[in-house]
Amino acid sequence: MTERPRVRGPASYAGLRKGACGIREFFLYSVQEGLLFGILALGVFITFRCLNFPDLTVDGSYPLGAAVFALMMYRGYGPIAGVVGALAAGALAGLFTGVLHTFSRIPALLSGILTMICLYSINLRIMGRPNISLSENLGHRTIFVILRDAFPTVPEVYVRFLFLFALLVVLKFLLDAFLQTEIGLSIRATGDNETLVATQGINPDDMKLIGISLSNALVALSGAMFAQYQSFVDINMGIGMVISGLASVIVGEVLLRGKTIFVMTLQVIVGSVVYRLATAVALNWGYSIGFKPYDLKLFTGILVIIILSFPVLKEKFGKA
Amino acid sequence: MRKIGIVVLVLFVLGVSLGALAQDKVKIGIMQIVDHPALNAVRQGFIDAMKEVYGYVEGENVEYDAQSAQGDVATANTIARKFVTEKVDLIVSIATPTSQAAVNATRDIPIVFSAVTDPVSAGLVKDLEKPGGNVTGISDMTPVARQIALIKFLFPEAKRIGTLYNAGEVNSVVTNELAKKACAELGLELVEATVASTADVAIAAQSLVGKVDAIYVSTDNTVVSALDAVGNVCLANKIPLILADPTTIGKGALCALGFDYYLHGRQTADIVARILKGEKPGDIPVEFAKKLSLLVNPKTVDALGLSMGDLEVKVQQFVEEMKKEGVEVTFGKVE
Repeated sequence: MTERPRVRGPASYAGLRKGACGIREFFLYSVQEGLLFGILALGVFITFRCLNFPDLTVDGSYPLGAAVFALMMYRGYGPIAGVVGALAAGALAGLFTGVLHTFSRIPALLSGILTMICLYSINLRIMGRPNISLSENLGHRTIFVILRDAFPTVPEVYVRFLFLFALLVVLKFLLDAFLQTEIGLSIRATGDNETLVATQGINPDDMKLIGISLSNALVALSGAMFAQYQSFVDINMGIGMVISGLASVIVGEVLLRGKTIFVMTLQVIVGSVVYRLATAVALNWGYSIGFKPYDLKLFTGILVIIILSFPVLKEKFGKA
Repeated sequence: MRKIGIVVLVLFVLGVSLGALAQDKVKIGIMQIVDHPALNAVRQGFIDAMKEVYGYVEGENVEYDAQSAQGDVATANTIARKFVTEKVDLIVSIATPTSQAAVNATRDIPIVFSAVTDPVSAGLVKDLEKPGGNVTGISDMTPVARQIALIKFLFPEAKRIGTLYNAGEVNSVVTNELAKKACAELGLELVEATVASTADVAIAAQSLVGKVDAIYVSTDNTVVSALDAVGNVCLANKIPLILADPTTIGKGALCALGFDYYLHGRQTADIVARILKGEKPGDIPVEFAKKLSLLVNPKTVDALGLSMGDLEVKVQQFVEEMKKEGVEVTFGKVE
């Protein structure tokens, strides 16, 4: 027989309520994650949309960026060097996929899958173990920790949000500018019509190599940033990333109309944020409609299906 | 008249606040990385012990929000954020990545982790004895040295021990290092075979045949998911298979020495109850499993051509030796 304790209110633990965040912060956090994955989605946009090259390297280059970043942190180079290292490693991984495709003539899907498989072992070698911490407890000072200490009066969530927002704006405009250059235009033309590009005296293979490298550099950057955001790197963090990136691209295209470069990259970022928000909303309020934790993947699948079917549905039923 | 009014008002306010207090349930967020039998057992053990030992009945004075990240690290972060938004009173995080996500999401809400092998290198706590901050919990470090000692005790003539694990699981890499050390101390050689997925397990087990005198499988999630494949290889080649998790003992395994993840969950409830009573998580040392159990499968004993009587005598001796070292081991047989 055990004694029933007196019913205790949540206030029984001193300091329990302190610092817990509200709805506004919750949205800010979801948007932050959307922005972090927006970097990845921009990378996916370059291969899938500009180059018309379905690149599955992403599931491997995303944790690769995180792994290289962690390695450099453990070796004592700061987060900036870590991010540069991640970008370089991602570009190399992309280059490898590109070489498999253009030199060895391996089909696009298979080239990406092969690199992804190789990267699993390589990532494990880089990390030395499948999960490594970047926690402040172990003395690691990530970009977010440095920023937090630099602005002690501003709540951490706002510091992170503003930094990520600024980073995305910069990346977006850099990518916009790049895609307007001669090389950028050639990359887009390669995706549209390879033969035509070749008749212009441009080697489409070179354009593919540049595009895929750039794409995976961005993906790896996303991995390195997310590793800092969550303060750890896990070998399995890349699972499903290519799907989430592609979903973001597609969701953005349905939400925003337009064919200019400016609008297209904006679509990608908006799509990524909306996709993350939808997932977070489903997790937070889904239970009120009988939603179980394991239904999450079904929910995201249905969400993308609805968004994708929307134009067709509107066309079919809108006119009637 | 006015006095009665005041009295009525005071009583009313008191009544309302008492009513509000009675409805004020403790809200606990439980998050696990994936739906896995061992992790589900931790969750169930926790909820059961909270009810049976500490009187926290779900729906009455406690509310649980149990979530699984389904193997997705990004989702683990979203779940942690959800708990912080909902202002849960306490977070129980099961397994390493989920615990890291929780620790990263809040510095205020108490977090009790479980099923984490190495909390210090995972960055969850600075020190096992004095965790500090809002985090403490239970390590599921399996007693590797004792398991290897059991193999040596039961099969003194064994020279080489085979093991299978997934190099992608952090806990397995840690336990494998310990196994290597324990083997070296007992003059044994550890022969390793690694797998990347459940599909590789049968081939990896087959690769050990002829090279080893016994096979040891630790708490590796991938290998345990495909344990029947290992069991079949061991039965066909009459190799004794020794496991670290008694709950997974099945076809082909000779015996298992370790702790029950259900009891691991019950032990988690002990820490949670202390925090709910007002203790600070940072002052509660990280705990390890307190009770071990040793399970023997008599069918495998027959299949290997061993005598159950002889084995039982040896196992009892082993249990006695463990008792001398201060470890409580309960002995049982699989039905």
